[in-house]
Amino acid sequence: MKPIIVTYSHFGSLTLLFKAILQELELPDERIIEPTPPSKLTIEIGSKHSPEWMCTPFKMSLGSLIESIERGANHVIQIGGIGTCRASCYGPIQRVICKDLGYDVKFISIDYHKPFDMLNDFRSVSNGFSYLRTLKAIRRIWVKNYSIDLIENLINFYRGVELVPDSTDKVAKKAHKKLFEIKRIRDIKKFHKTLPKMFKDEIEINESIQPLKVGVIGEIYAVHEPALHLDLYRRLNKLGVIARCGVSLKKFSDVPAKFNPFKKEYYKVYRKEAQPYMKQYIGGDGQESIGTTIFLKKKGWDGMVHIWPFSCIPELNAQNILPVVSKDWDMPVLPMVVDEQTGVAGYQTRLEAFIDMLRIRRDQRLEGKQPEKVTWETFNYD
Amino acid sequence: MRNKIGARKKKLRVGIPRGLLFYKFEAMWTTFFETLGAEVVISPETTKKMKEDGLKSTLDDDCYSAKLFYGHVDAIKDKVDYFFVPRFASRNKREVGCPKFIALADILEHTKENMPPIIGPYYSTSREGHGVLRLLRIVYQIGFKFTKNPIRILRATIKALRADKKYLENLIIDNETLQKWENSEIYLNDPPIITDENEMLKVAVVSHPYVINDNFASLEMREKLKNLGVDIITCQQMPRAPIERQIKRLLYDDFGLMIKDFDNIQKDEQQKFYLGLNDYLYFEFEHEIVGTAMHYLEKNIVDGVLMLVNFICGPVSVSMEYVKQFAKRIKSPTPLMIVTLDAHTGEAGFRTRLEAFTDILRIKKMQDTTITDKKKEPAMILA
Repeated sequence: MKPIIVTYSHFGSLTLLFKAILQELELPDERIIEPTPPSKLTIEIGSKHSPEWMCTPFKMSLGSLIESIERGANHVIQIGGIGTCRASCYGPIQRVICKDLGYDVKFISIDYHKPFDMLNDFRSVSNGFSYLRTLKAIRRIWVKNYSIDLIENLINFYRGVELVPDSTDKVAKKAHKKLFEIKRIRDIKKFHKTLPKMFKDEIEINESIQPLKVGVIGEIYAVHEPALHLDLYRRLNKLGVIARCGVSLKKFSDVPAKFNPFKKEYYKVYRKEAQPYMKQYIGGDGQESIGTTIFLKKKGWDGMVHIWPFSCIPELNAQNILPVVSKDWDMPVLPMVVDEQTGVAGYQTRLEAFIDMLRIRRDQRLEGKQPEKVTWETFNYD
Repeated sequence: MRNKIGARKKKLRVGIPRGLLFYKFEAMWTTFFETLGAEVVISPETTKKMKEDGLKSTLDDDCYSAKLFYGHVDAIKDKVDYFFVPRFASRNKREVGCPKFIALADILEHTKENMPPIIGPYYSTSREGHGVLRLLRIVYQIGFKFTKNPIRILRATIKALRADKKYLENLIIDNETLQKWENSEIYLNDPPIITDENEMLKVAVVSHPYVINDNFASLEMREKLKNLGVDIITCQQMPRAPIERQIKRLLYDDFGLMIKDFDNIQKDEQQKFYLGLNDYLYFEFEHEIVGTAMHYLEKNIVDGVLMLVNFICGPVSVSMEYVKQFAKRIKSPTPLMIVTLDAHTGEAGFRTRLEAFTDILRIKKMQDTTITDKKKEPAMILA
């Protein structure tokens, strides 16, 4: 029997998370094929073999999987099960397509709505672990996910106000590296608490910048994958803006919060805000997109960027209603459709125009007064 | 005073746009509201004006059928007291509809001006576990808007469910009728016009009911095929057993083609090829499309399969891929044509494609019969 060589598709900075689980399942490094960040070629391969109107995340993940399979993988972990939108069809269809292309690959479709099935599936790729041992390994997902999310938020904050260019990226790289060197869960939790201080100490803040605050909402893959959103956060930060991502994988991975009656999960807060406009779950992150807009407006933010891949149904539904929300709450929302053919120049121009408009709006509102000073403490809502 | 009495006697009018789910639950909805004592106003057949109204008020990348739906809403907006646009998510544990259906009512409520109140019950079995209790609650919530008599509401519900059952019984044919159709003994739809040049062809048309049955959206496909001498069967008419059989194929590796006897699978083969329920095609309304297309591609009974898809329909992009890959895998001799329809599809272009398709089918049929002629006696008898 051939040894199991596992791969998975690229998913922004959260890719690190999947590797962490597999390492925890004691798969040696040579049996994990880490996906490379999607390039233009990856997207081209993906769209060539995908159905024409399938959403762009499907095409990109297919491209990224094919690249990994070419490098020798024979097991693929992908989403499956029962969902509301097309996302849960990814595994089954990609299996059929890979079969047609002549690859001998086994797809492990994981239903992220069902923790017990997930446990079983992860056990099947492990080194003959027991259920308890697998559970312990999966525990690392949510513990590390807290830290990755925090690091992302810290980057998006400090990169907007840093004095020396690229100093934030250096610190972030260090933090990521350190996070994956730590083995014990207790130490990860300790490290998590030191993160804000680490960023504060090592990055010099430019006091003269008066940053705007812009939230980013949309489909989870589009929001997290730099190859698809074309480095949106860096672009925003370069324009002197603090960004905040409204979507997180914590929605599925934060298991302790699901069993804790005293803790309110982040997305439930957003869904409650969205009630007057959208009463029920519409798949993907549509409802949260509406809720986040209202939530951040109440916190005094300046604007939102709504980003979704072409032909995503839930986000399209949200986009139908967002202009109304924007009008009712006086909160500018910039809609951005991205797909494999999005041009960089037009994208940048639209962002610049939007940010300029936000600046004019803020100046009018403040009437010459100094804006409130932004610190990390006022920025953190989790 | 007289006015007031007159107003009370006047029936409340419920508007149902002729689009999307209406084509599925037509009988159920109209019977329910009529038995409750309301006047049901159904928007007329799609016109060009409706399309333009719909295009104006929607986003560019919305699906074509949804755009038409908004047009239908505009057409009867001023004539009704209530709109009925249910927030339908799913009715089975492992199956869902389209995400678009869930959000339609909310979008209409917030984007259209001067909208009458919308009756939009939310029903989702797969996600929220809704069942009979939820259904009763919905029924009574709606019912008390029209009457104060709870028994009448219950009666309307039972009558509506019966009407739906009867509607499906009339629509879905049984295996015997299917056999007769396959042997060219009966017609299931309008009889085609057959001339000496135009030999009759048998084509299975697969698509959503709101594309096939909407004359405007399908660019009068039925009429055109009739004139070209094509006898059609739609996927809505197909018996459910062959469809379920094909959907079961998707649960097995390689469409279960490696299994010797697919109808009673042995245990060792089951273990070897079964993929698990995570690979189940969970879009409920895609089942008949995928199932019918795969059935005819496999059995090779009809002359061709015609798949109509409306632009940017999400679930169809999934089923299209399954059908394509299946046809490729079994190297099906039955030709398959996929036609995309959208707001800008030209009528002439569509006609040309249909003509070309039927011509190819005829040429292929002629070649096939000549080949079989040489081998054995002609066995084909056309009615």
